[in-house]
Amino acid sequence: MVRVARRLGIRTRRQFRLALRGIAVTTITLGGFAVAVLLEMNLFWLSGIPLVLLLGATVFEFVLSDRVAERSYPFETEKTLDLLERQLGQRTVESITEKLELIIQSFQACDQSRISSTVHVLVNLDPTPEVGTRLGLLQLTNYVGPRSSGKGRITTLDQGVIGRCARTGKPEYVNFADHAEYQQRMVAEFGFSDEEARGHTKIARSYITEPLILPRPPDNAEELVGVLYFFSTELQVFPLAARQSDLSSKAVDVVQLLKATSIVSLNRP
Amino acid sequence: MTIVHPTAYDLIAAEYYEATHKTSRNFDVTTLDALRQHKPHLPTEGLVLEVGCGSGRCATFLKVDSNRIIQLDSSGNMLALNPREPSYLRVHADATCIPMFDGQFSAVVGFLVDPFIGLNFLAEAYRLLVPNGLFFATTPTAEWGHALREQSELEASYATFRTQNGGTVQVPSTLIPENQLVQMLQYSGFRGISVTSHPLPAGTESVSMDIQRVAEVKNVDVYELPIIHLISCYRPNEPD
Repeated sequence: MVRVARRLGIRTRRQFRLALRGIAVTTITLGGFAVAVLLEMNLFWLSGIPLVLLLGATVFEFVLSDRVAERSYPFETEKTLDLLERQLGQRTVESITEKLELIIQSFQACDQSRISSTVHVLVNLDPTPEVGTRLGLLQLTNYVGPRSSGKGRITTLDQGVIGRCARTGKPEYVNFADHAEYQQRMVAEFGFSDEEARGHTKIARSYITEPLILPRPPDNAEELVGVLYFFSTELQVFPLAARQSDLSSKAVDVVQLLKATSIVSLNRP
Repeated sequence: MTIVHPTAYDLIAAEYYEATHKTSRNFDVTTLDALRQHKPHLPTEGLVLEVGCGSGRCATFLKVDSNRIIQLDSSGNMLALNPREPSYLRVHADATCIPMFDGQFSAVVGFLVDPFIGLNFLAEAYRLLVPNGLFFATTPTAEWGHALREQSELEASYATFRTQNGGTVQVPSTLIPENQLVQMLQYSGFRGISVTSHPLPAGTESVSMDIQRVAEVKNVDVYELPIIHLISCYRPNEPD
């Protein structure tokens, strides 16, 4: 349902909730009209059909739709993204975008036009009964490059190459020869379900991540605050095309940008 | 232990070399003709690694003694094909992660390397070569392949192999423009780089529809449409 919603351009919880309400209200109105018409025509049994639809839509709107919206667009995540975006400001988003574009331009011996990039920041997720503190990665900006969406997406730390980077605290890369290998390894190795993996892009082949590290006072202990993420639809681009790009120092620049807007201290205790 | 992911070539190995697969056979005759014009300077001693070997082509195309040839393929079914060219050893491995120590080969060769060509493969080839060792490969031209394949990026990254029972198998295939090929080889450390383009030799009978169609689209004769690149370069004695 979320995939369909995103394809229709529904990006936020509010938009999703309004869409559900619109569908429910339309169904209730049309259902009520159909019931009235059929009753007028003395088709009492037939009027039961739109009546059931009307009742179903009413129950959905008043009982279920908030839960569906919360599951599809968790409120806390959206609140966090709203806070982060307001704190970030348009100027910082532009600065981060420019930085990512410059980094892409530093990659060599590859088709730079096929590379996309973004920044993920570490955020607190709702705890579960089994796990008190849960961390995830929130995609802070839309992708720079040929893919321009994705802002607000949450990935848990047990998923994806970005989750691996966040866990190890080291640069990570992965390559896939074709989509079949991608699908198999995304499930077996990178923590996605088969359905989740099928919802990903089918054409990306080469990925690299760089941890965003913030020294914390008083002893400058290093703390991971996010992940820089690049992927290409061209085979075998990473890690070699980035060999001379000094990603670690570029990551420091991005962390400084985030620190200046208090992003990296905002969402973690 | 290197885990080799099953490949689409496992599905087509049994019939890959049949005469009915005209595009592949056209590539064969074009390679032979191109090698007559541009014979690579193969070292006369030392091991030769043939990557993506299939049933083996090193002896046929380059006249290398079988005792020098190590055949490597990621498809177990391709490595098991019989009859095949004899070799010293067969290795089941991924061309982008070859489980062999550095600097053991006087030549790394591959015919139609489009299923695995990329920076990682080139880095492996470089690593495995001795100083002044030869890297020699053929690959379909982007000029031909991109015109043949569909416009979407997904479809452009696969070659479609039509099986004898009427089915289709999509096999990974990366087609790289000549200028980018040269750039990638330079970046990987190779020198003395030569990339040449070659059409089907004049008078070849039984031209594949895949070649005829593109020739029509480009309004050229089928014997003038470049369909394969010959790539030749070497690992320098000292890195730059």
